[in-house]
Amino acid sequence: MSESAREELEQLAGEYVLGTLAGAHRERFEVRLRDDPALRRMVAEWQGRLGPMVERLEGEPPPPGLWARIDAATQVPAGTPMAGPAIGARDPLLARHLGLWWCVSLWRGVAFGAIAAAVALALWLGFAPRPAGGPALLAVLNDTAANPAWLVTVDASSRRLLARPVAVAAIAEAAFELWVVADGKPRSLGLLAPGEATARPLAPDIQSILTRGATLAVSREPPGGSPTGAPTGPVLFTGKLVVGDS
Amino acid sequence: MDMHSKPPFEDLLLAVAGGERDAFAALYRASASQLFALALRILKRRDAAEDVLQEAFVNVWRHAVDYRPEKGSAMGWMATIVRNRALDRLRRARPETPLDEAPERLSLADTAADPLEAATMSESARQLDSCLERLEDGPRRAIRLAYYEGLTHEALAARLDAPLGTVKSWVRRGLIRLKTCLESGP
Repeated sequence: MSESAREELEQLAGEYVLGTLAGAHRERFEVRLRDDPALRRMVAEWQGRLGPMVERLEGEPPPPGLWARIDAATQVPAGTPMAGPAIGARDPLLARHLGLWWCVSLWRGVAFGAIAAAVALALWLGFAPRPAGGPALLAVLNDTAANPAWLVTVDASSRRLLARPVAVAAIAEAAFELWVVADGKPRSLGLLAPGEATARPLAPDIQSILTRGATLAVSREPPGGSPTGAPTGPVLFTGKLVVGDS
Repeated sequence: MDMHSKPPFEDLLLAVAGGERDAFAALYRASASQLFALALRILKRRDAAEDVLQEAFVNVWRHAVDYRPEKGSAMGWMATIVRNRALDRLRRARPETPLDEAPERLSLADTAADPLEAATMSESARQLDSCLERLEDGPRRAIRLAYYEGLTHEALAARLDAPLGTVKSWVRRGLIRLKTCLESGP
């Protein structure tokens, strides 16, 4: 990239973070952002630069009831059974995500599916320093109306896949199954629960096909997953793996 | 404000990443009013600002593990989440006319921080403020208005009563100078 092209992108990234980039320009920028790690890094740097501006604001107390709503939305009520305790017990990070499973209906209500939100979160994910052993890959899986529903990250160094729901409503008497499509053939990556993060260790042969540009898809399956080893229900969400950091 | 009476936001956020509820409550108490002010200034509606603040804090709880202190201040990280949600909502809600409930504090945000204010600000916020003060009037006002009010180029042009092309160039020039200034160190 030439110096002037780089500077142009740098300006654009700054305007995106500042918010002056609007309408079709903003949308085009966001599309490009999803496949361009260098651009994501620029955006992250601008977020770091401009973020402290908030400290200049005179505070305005939020209404007293707001904390109770936030508290309730991030907490498991006493006595609620935990889904997937085996994962939770081993991994405190996931344990916390699992604690959120019950509030799926809240998530649905808050119009959380905007691309901006998913991308913003992915950017901060990209902040994590990566250990040697390969880059992290991530995919935003969208529904058919292009609303992001899942954020999937593949960490090559720890050989682990993590799928986090962004805005997914549970379907009665059905399961979500995650697939990677390689050479036109889907391979199952297991079942996902709509209200919780799912972590999965990756076998070497599966990891070798989870590369940049690989297509991930989630299909609707009977409880317990596809009986045939291939998707039997409709594909609800799809996305491609991109490099999360470089 | 007594600077030593509360742990820094960074420590609180790292404790939140460890799943500590008390730290989450403390973080909310310490930061919610400034973040609410930010959402309110952008959205100009209390109900919308409340929703955005709630969504943002649920996100903070869920994603605190992704925060990296070396990449920026904790308050800046949370402000990014709030602004993203607020801008997204604003852009989708237009052209609905906002109820003008929020008090106009434009003049306040467009002046240098006074010494008392500066004492409560983080090092990075002080440096940013001093770099902003070094910009010319046009670029400085455009950047502050865009950040605090969520205005697009067109809205900025109307508010600053300047041609669109001029405003665009103010924003661009201002951002580049700001970056250079911040990189040159304190």
